[in-house]
Amino acid sequence: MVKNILEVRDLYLYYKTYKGIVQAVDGISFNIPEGQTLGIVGESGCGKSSTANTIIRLLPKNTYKYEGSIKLNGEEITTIPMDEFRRTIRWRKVAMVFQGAMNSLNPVLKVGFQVAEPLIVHLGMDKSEALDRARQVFEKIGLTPAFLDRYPHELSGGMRQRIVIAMAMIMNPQLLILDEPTSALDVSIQAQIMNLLKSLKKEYHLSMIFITHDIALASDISDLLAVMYAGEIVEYGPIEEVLLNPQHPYAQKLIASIPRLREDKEPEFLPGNPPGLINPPKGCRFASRCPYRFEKCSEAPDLVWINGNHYVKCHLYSEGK
Amino acid sequence: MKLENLKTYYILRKGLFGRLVVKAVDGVTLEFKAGEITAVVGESGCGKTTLGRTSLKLIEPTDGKIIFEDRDITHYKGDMKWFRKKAQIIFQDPFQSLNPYHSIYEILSEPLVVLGEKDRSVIDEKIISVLNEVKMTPPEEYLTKYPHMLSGGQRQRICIARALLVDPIYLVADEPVSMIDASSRAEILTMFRNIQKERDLAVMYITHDIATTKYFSDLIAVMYAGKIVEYGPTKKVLKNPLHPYTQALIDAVPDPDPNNRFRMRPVVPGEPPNPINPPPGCRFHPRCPKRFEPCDKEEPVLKEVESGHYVACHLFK
Repeated sequence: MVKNILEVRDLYLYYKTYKGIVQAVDGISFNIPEGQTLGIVGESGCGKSSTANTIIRLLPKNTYKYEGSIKLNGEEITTIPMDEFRRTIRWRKVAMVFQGAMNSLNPVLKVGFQVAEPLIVHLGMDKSEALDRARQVFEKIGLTPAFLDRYPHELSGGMRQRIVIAMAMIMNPQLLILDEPTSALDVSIQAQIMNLLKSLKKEYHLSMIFITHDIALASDISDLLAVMYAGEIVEYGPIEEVLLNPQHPYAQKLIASIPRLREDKEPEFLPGNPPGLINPPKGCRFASRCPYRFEKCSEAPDLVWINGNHYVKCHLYSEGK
Repeated sequence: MKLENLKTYYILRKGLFGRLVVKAVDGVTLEFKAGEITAVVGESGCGKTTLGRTSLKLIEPTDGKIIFEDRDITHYKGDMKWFRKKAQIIFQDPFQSLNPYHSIYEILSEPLVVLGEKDRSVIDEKIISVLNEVKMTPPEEYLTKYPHMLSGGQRQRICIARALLVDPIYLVADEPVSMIDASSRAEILTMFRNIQKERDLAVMYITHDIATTKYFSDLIAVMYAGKIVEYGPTKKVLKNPLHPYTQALIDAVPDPDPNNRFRMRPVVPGEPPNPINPPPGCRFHPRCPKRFEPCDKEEPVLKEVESGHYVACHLFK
């Protein structure tokens, strides 16, 4: 049995806004075995990015509720004081590539220095030593050392995305969170980045969380898949099972809506919109769009384990249906 | 709508020592027939948006011809209202293309008023019928709403309705679903396809997503660095892509398959060229896995390889 690098149990993150309380992450649970990648998919505003922010503990000022358990290598990290978290966990053990990060590089600093900076700040290395390490990481991600001395404006989008990945990799993290790392890139560049991530995963046995709205893209790298809807994970399991034999009606519909280039299947569609997260419906959040709804759906469903590592949050599968 | 050898250059800088010219669209010939959707596919910066806008004369062409209903309008300078009634555009971003201070009724009545309709009852009737057409039902409910009260998909329906109001015969749809959630994309495109068939519209569907062209286009034109590299019926092109760039574009798109993770995706190295200074010969040759000696010298021209299937590549003589 492979040990889990990350175990998340009943994680909540609510924001307080002037309109009310936003239930961005509402009691989610999942595991990631070491060396594997979890793909988190869902529509915009379903809480994917909030989940990532919770794990790396980047909580906004208006956080209303932050609860649950996150265990990294068996160690509870939600209760660690902020100071220590910053010193020992963030970037060192868990690193993140943010959405659109390639556009937030500092335009007046050479990218080599920007990549090396965490070493100087966190480990107190001197500059030349840190740049040396940066050079090694550049090699890992397929950039020649000449790029160390470039400025961000001299680089294309794909190159900048590599730089951002290098920044996340420089401290040798155990877990890498990628939030829509390719959504701003063209397909041919996207394929290059995906190949890079695959080789990092294989060579360094890196565990990852890959967040995207594109299920086909998630299938390119993930071993596990979690489908999120309105702040909840409605289905989670090995990608073979979730993708090929989805159980939750939302997961079924979402997967059927992907246009496929190599198969003759008309994409289906899912009418309606996801509920707001400020006052989500009491029962199952998907009930209003669900073709299979019945009376029980007005109550919130519990997790139903289907087999081993696969669960679904739907009354269709609960006992005594 | 016919485009003949259309060129659109942007002048970046003029100076004593010459000027920098971006060749956004560099010699494109395409024809759009009623009842057909032609997908223009390519990566960002390949000139597809410029091509769409030039065809509507939103950007002045540098060279070539724009022929609309057998009339050469390339250098037409007079009143464009008759043309605007027949040729319309749907923009990419429904969040930025609707005036937030106008209600849906105001947004939809404006094109009719501008184009000379004075009778309020005619305007109201048209708005209601077009809202029904884009499945915003019941339409009366939406008239008083403002854009911020609608979801992305609903806003894009409003944008489509606005373009349809004046009963155009030619439509440019510039990435109409790239800003919309995955689960509503297929819905919007299916609806659009039905309307297009019913109205017998000629459509230029600009997209970077080659997977959607399979279902929502009749013809496909693949653009690279300002030129069309392959053109033909969608089914043929996707099944049997001839140009190495088209092949790479198709290879780069993943289908949902758990086995994907065990294999590397075939990729072309490098990035699209700078349109200021495109490489000599075939513009794809520095990235092409199949290049041979004429590729860096001679520019290939679009040739018909099979009936209706054109490709610009030296591999096909």
